[in-house]
Amino acid sequence: MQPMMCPDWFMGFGLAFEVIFFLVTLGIALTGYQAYKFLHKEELKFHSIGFSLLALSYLALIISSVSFIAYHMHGVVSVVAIHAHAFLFLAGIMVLLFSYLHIKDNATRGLLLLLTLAVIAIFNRPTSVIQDFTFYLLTAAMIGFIVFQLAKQCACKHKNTTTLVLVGFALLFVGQITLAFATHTHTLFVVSTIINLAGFASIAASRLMVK
Amino acid sequence: MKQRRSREEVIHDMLYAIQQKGGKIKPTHLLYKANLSHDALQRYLEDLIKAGLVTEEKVKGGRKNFVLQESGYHFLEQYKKFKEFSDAFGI
Repeated sequence: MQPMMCPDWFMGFGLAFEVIFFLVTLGIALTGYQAYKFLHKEELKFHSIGFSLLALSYLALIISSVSFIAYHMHGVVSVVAIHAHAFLFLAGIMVLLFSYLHIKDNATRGLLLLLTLAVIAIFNRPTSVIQDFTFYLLTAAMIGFIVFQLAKQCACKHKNTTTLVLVGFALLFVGQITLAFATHTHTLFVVSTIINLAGFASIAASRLMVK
Repeated sequence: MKQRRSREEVIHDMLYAIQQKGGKIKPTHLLYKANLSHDALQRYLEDLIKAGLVTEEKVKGGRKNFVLQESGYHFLEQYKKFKEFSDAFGI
């Protein structure tokens, strides 16, 4: 998916950014897990699982990018890794939504996850432009919902850390929307990656502020 | 309507109340500051003493104080950190 949209000169930078995205999501996942063990809040458990899945999705993307750079083509490893990235990213965002929507029922969670992944599977035709568009638009919509929930929290709590997380997710939302239109536009791909970097930097800053 | 406090929130409120009183507190003050019934206070205090977060100190006149221990201060630090993390992500 993504290596097709990435210009040659940006490959190295893109890979470096993917490593950063992986490290940030992994850091948040680990802290979330520690917080869950201490506070025993179920929402924190799903928050940690969600970010763990996002971290794994970026790891898959790193594998795909490294494979593409090494062999200068879309080999089996690269293709499988890209699809793993899509699957894990979508699952991760959906699990994050469980914590924000306060969905307590396992059956409802399972159904939502299944429906979301089914949408991607339905549009999963290798040469289909609509595949990428659907994926990025769907993930953008889900991130947008998280932004909406965070905005409500921000209005109540007025904390710098909440604002940073809100800004971070808002940038990720814009980044995903931009990626949806970046299928054949290298410039938009570069712009969206930089926006995503700014988003993760904001989220990482909020974590660092928590001492 | 305010949600019922979790166990960790109650423990935090109790330890915070002791910290605010300079690390030492009388049982009655703790009862009011932590907003607990007498039975609930006794149950939680047993657990806190067993966990080493708090100790009981006998004073003159047959009275007693509850003293915050090092592990109690550590619990408060950890609680603050994870609560801030949780609040930052709107959870």
